[in-house]
Amino acid sequence: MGNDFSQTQDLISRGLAGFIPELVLSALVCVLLLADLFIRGVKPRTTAWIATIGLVLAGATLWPRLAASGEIFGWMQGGTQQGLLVTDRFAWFFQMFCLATALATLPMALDHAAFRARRMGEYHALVVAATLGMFMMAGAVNLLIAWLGIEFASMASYLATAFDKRDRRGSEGGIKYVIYGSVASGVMLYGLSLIYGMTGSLHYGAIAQQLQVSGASDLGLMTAALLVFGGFAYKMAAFPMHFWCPDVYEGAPTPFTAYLSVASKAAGFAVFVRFIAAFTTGEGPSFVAFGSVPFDASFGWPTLIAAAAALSMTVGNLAALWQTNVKRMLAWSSVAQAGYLLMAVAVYAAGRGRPSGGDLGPLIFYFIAYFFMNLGAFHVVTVIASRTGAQHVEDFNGLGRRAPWMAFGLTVCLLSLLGVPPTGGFTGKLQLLQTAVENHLVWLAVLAGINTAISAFYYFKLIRCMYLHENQAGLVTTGTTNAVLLALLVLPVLVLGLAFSPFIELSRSFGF
Amino acid sequence: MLLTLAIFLPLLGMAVVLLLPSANKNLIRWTATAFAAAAFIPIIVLSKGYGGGEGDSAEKTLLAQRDAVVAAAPAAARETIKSLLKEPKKLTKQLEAWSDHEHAPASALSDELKPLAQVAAADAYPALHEAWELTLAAESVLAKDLRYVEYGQWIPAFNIHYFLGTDGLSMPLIFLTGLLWVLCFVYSYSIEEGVKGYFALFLLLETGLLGVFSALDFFLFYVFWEIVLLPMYFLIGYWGGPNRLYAAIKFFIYTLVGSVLMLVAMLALYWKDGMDSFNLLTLTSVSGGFDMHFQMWIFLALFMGFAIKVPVFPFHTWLPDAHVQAPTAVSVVLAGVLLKMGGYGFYRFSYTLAPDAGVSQAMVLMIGILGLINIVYGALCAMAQKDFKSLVAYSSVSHMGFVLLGMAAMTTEGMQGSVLQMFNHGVSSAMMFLLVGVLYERAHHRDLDRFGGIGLQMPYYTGFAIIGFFASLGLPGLNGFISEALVFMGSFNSSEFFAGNSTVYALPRWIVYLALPGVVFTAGYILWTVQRVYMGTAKKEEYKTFKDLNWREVFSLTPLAAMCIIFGVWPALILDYMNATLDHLRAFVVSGGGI
Amino acid sequence: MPDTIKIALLIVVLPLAAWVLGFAHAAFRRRLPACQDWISTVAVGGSMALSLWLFFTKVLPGGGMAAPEVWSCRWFAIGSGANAFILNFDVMVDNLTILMNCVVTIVAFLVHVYSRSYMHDEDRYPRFFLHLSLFTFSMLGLLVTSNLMMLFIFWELVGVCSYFLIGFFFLKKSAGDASKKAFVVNRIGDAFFMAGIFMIGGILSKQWPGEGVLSFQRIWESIALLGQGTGPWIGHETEVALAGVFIFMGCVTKSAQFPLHVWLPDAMEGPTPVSALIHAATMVAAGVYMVARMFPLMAGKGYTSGEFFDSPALWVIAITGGITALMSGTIALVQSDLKKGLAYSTCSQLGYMVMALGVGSMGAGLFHLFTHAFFKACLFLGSGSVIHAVHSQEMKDMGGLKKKMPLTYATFLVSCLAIAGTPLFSGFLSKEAVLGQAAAFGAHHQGVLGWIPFALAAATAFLTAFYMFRLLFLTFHGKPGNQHKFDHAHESPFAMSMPLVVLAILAVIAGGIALPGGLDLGTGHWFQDRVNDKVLVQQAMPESAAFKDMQAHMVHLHEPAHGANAAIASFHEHAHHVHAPVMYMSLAAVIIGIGGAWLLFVRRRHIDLVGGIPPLARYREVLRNLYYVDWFYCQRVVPTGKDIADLAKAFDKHVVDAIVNAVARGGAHVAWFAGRVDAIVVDGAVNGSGASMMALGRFCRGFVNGRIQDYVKYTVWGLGLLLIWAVLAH
Repeated sequence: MGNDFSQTQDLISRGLAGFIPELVLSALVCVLLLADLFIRGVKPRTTAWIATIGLVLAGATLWPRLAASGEIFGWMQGGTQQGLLVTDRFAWFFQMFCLATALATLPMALDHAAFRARRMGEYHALVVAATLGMFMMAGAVNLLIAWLGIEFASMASYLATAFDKRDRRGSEGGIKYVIYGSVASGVMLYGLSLIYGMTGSLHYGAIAQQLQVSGASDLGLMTAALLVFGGFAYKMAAFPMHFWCPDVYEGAPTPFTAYLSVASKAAGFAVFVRFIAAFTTGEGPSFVAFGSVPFDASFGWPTLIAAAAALSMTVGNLAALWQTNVKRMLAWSSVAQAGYLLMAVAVYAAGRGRPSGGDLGPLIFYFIAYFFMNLGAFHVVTVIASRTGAQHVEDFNGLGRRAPWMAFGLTVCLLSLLGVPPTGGFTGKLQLLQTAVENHLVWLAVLAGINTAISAFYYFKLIRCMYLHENQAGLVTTGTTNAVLLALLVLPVLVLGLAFSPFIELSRSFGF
Repeated sequence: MLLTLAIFLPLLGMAVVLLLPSANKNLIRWTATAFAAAAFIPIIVLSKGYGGGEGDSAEKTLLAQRDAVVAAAPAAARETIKSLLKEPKKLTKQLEAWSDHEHAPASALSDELKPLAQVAAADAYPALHEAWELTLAAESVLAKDLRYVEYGQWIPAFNIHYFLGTDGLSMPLIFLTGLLWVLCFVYSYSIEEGVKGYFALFLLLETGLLGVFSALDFFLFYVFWEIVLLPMYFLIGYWGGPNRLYAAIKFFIYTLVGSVLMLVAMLALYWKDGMDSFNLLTLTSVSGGFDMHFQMWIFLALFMGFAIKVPVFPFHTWLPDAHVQAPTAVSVVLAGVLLKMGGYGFYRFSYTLAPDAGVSQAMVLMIGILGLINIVYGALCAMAQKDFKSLVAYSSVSHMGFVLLGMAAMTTEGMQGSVLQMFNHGVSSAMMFLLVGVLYERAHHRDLDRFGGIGLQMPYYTGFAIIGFFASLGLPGLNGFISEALVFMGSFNSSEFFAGNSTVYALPRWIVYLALPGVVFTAGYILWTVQRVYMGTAKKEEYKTFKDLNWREVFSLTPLAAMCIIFGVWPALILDYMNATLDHLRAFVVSGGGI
Repeated sequence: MPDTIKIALLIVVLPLAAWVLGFAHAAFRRRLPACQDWISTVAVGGSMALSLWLFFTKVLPGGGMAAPEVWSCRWFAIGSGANAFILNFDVMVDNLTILMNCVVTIVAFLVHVYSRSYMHDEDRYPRFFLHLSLFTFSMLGLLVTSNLMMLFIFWELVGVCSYFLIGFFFLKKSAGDASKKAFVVNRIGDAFFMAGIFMIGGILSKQWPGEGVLSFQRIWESIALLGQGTGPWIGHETEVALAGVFIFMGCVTKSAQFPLHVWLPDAMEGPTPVSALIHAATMVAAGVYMVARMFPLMAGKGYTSGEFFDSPALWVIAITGGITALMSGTIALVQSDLKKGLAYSTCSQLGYMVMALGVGSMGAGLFHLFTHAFFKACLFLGSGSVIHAVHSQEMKDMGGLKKKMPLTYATFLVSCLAIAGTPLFSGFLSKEAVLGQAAAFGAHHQGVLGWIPFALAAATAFLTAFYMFRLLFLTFHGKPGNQHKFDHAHESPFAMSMPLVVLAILAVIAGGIALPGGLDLGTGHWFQDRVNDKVLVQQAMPESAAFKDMQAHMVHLHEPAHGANAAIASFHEHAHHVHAPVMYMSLAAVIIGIGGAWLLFVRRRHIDLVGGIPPLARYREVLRNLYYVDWFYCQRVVPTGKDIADLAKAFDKHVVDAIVNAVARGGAHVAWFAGRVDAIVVDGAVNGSGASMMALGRFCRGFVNGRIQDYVKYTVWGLGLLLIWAVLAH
């Protein structure tokens, strides 16, 4: 016991040392709030710079963790270590991902019409806070921390969604988000309490161990796990917890929508993949609850996730078809994208326990591509919306003439989201399909293919408006910063489509 | 390098055109034409070289590459790799186990591979895999005839290569592409709106098409295949007729559905037996060993992808829409080259990757009957059209039926006739669309019933029209006849026999009998058209003011008319080109993949 | 390359050169050379001179060429080894080729000369000669080649030239219609012809890979082998018969046989010289020529043994020819248009030739072809001369012209006598040969059926004399039908009358080449000797006994060779016996025919033949309506075809494309529903008012009231469903 205690102390001290990025973010939140409160007439640009510097600093402190590995903030129980957070390459990737998203959306927010000439410190603080929550989600190895991270990120998101108080839609979106989020949270909390009751632990490793040793009531565990899954699906904006998505995306300030659609989803996937990893360790022969026999008729995680993937992409794409509001369309598109991404998770779950399985490369790669293409799309939408008030698809008419580079950038991003070569979206989707086919999930691959064709309708609706419809209005000026940001977002999309070999190696290295 | 040059010169041209000021339309036109012409130069060199037997054979290039790979492998593994490569097909069976264990301990290797354990299997694996791919590729039937091969790494993580080459199957189509682009650009000087975008997209389209016809890596092929879609969408959607948006999106979605299925087939092949290869040649040399069930699925999935492009009934309805709405030059390349992507795909991919399925009874019947429907039904539909352009569009449907019919027969005559038909149709249909375009530019309508007496007003133009339409009709002495005759002869000739371990099924003769009336219908609609448009007296006063062809139109039409005549009188010019390639390919297919 | 071949090819190439010259000039200078008429005429004149030179050096002396000269070059080769398919450009020159060359070049040359005057005032005058050159080239090419595929190519080329020339006056709708009709109808036969070629080519190229396929020699050889029970056709006997019939279908359209003869009368829309050259003397005879060349195939496996009188293909040919001959003859009775009358007469005579082939006598058929070319060309050119004079084709505008146009009248009369089969004219010999063979065929079969061809032919023989003289009398005798036109009529210029005279002379003497001990003393029936299969098959079957039998058979009026096959011996026996009665009968037919015509049309001036004869009146309408064959095609077949095409179009649009669109729309509907759910249920609070709410009406109000609760509810449902699934599956 004494030994445990000293080791626990050790864990905590090590933990604090390894927790520096999160601490930097926490400090940044405070600084931003204080700056907003106490400096009179602080300009948005100022707080943006502060946020930028803080985020870069956090990134710098995060960097060493690339090499680190191990759990922090844990305690020893029965000779095994039970941490709260883990610092591994997988977590590092998603944390860095969320950080980058926050960074990329900062200039977008500066440009956003609703934010202009307002005190932005509060908003920046909320974004950083949400990022902090996502840091926790990405590193959580304990269900409680996972839940806490989700809650933390959500709280900040609710507020940011309703940030523009004058906007009815924003407020409404915020309210809906809160209600929906609390339901999801409640559901998840209920599930994890059940799990705790059945296994006596909230630590993934311990749960997995416990399950192997004792087994558990299958049905009970299944129920509990499903409820927890609900919480994750909410964050991933995947079926069946995607309903909040369009409202919130539409209502939230566009830069924050961009942030939500990328970072929040990534964090959701990160936490979900870890959870899945725990529940399908596959190391023991008799992990009973969700059998690791992948593709028979029995109910199992791979089947469940595959079904969720299929439904997400189909529902998302179909619903997107008739949308005329661009943000709403992109919201549904992101539901569909979650479906594609879930394919990789399903394969991952199926592959656990097989020597060649457990490759998260495709998922990571797709996220890299998704980062650029989705942010790129939202960037253009933000810029155009703030210049012309465009909300609807028709508002983009003639954009190919009015803002050729913006239109070109958006086209590339949309094509990438659609999955046409030579873009990152294609190579990403190719790998997703590839893993599906490799693991005999051909039906899912075919379904994804058909979905791709369906999605062409609405992605092309926007492209068509930009190039093939006329609009008498004049040129749209966009500014240097936006152009640079656009280039930074769009060029990688093409690079990922043409010379993606190094990125494959890279993405493979981020597994755990 | 010549192929690369040909493929990427248009892309460079696109970049240059985009940088030019939009206002200077003539500069853009001339620049674009210059780039198309520049891309045509290496193509001519290639064609000449290929015809003259120049250019390193694929076999030689690939083996040299293999030796280089082996030489670069870890020293300790070299000898083992060399000895393993003596029986590359045997190695294939072990790859699955190994690819599973790529990062696993060496103890998991099979007995034959055990020696590699000494040098750490994971290090030796890439070299062995690459060397294996190359050895098999050099052994494949396609390597015999491919020349001007370019081979390089592109995405090592997925064994994707930048692998190009050309043979008797692709060379005529590459030539046609290069030629049509020059002609179309000169013809397109009358485009006044969005000149920059038009020429830029057109150049991009050329890159895609040349890439499609020369890519030998399935992945590379797919990328080029998809690149073709986009510019086409915009070209139809922006510069097209009144209903262009519908036509453009229909074209896009339809083709996308097909290509997605192709993608799934491609991935299934990649994972087959753990081969992890997109190399068409490698896959070809082992494809005979695939079980029938798998081959059938592959064939069907690829079939969908290619059939939509051909287009095969009932997937053809995008074609009339696209043609009618597209601007003239776009119709020209659509009929002239884009449709050939489908037929080319069948020969290049379907039959090489699923040879047994291709000659199985079900497929022979299916392709044969669909070909029959295409021929007869297309001709009937053409006869009923009132719109000049949709008549020509349906005539394409009908003519492409011959491609299918000859393909189903898989006899020497049938197959070569079918490939020749692709080329010939590329020439004559391109010409017909140009002819329709010429008339449309003057009359601003395409209603067949409202024409008449053009022959008197525009005799020079009518002369070209007669050549083009009669070539399409299959008049002896012009190119279309040879291919149609060969296809018919070949399909009559088809008979069932056993070869290797599989049965080659015969195309039933009744299909051919039923297809023959198509010849009469074709004569019917062509002559009816000629009569309605060119004969008689002018139905409207304004027709009497029509000017005969201008120099641009003459420039575009002359080479095509000349080709109609030259290849009609002397088909050996092109048949000799294709013969070896197609003969080897046919032997490969009917012998069940050489196994 | 043997010299004969070189000359033969030169004969072919000269008109082509004229065409290429004109074409190149048109291509580069945008108009035809003004002297195209001279270029073409000189070229065809050169061809004629060479042809005649060949005739006088090769055919006339010493019993003709003993063996054909052959030469071939590779056209293209594909495949390899056992799968090779090699197509050669085969050239063969034998007696028949040279004779046919002479016919074509002589008629063509005369027509060229004639046209220089006749067509001179027409628009596009040079173009006319351009087409003529191309036609002459194609026709000559058709004759020198000895490969079925090449023959087919030239066959189509003459067809397309005919198309251009019929539609030469394309401003007239009727000309356009007629040219289209000619081509499309021909295309029907060609489809069969192609099927036949493909069948033969397919089987031969597989059985004899690596050699040139479809050459005549190969085909004859294969048939000869079939007779011996070996060779490529063993196991494909049905195909032999079928291929024969299919190939004959090509002849049916090209040579205007029933039931596909309908294009030929319409083709008279073309300029008259064209009618003379293409639609009387040469192109329409190409079908007969082709069937003669393919005779072994039609005769089938009994060919070498002589037992081919029951060959199904030959029966089809004989009956088709007979029906055509009689039917067209009767229709010719009621024609009021001079050229149409001649056109039906051409049909009828072609039917004669075809029937002769069908009853197994190639020699007789070809002989008739040879003589017919001259007098029919003469008749057409004569009619052209008349039309030129009165500017009308209707015979009611003519009459009494013999005084105004004595030269034309004289030549017309000579030709009429020839075609009627009057002794001392060439037509007598050839027609009598055909009739004799048909009668022998009937006697040989010893049944009623065997006499059908003869019966048809005999009836036609009478009709021929009758209707030809009807045309003659109505045109040249009696009173002028139209005084105004009559007054302006005049004899044609020399350029037009000279060809008439030459042709009339040929109409008299051409038959002489077949007279026993004729031009070439001492060799007997040399025409039939030279045209017969001895020369045709010699390459394939050099010295077999069967060949000797056959040779004996072909020289049909001679005693069969010793030890000849029983069938041939029997046939000869019969031929010998029927010879004299047939000759008397044919003489009687001529006398009755001419006499009847004289009575009716000179004495009583009936323009309308049957009007004055009550028992015939009821058939007049049938004849006037051409037995309703044309009507059937134009009113039934073609509209049905168009209906089917419209149906296909509608099907394409309303079914195939509709399915595609329905799939898309179905997807869109699902999507619409999803979108509505999104808009009303999820987004209801924001934009639930207005259209979307109205759309779903009261039903949806429930949704709209409790939005957020509702979609929480849905979420729980979703999870619940998953849970139920889990439980059930567990």
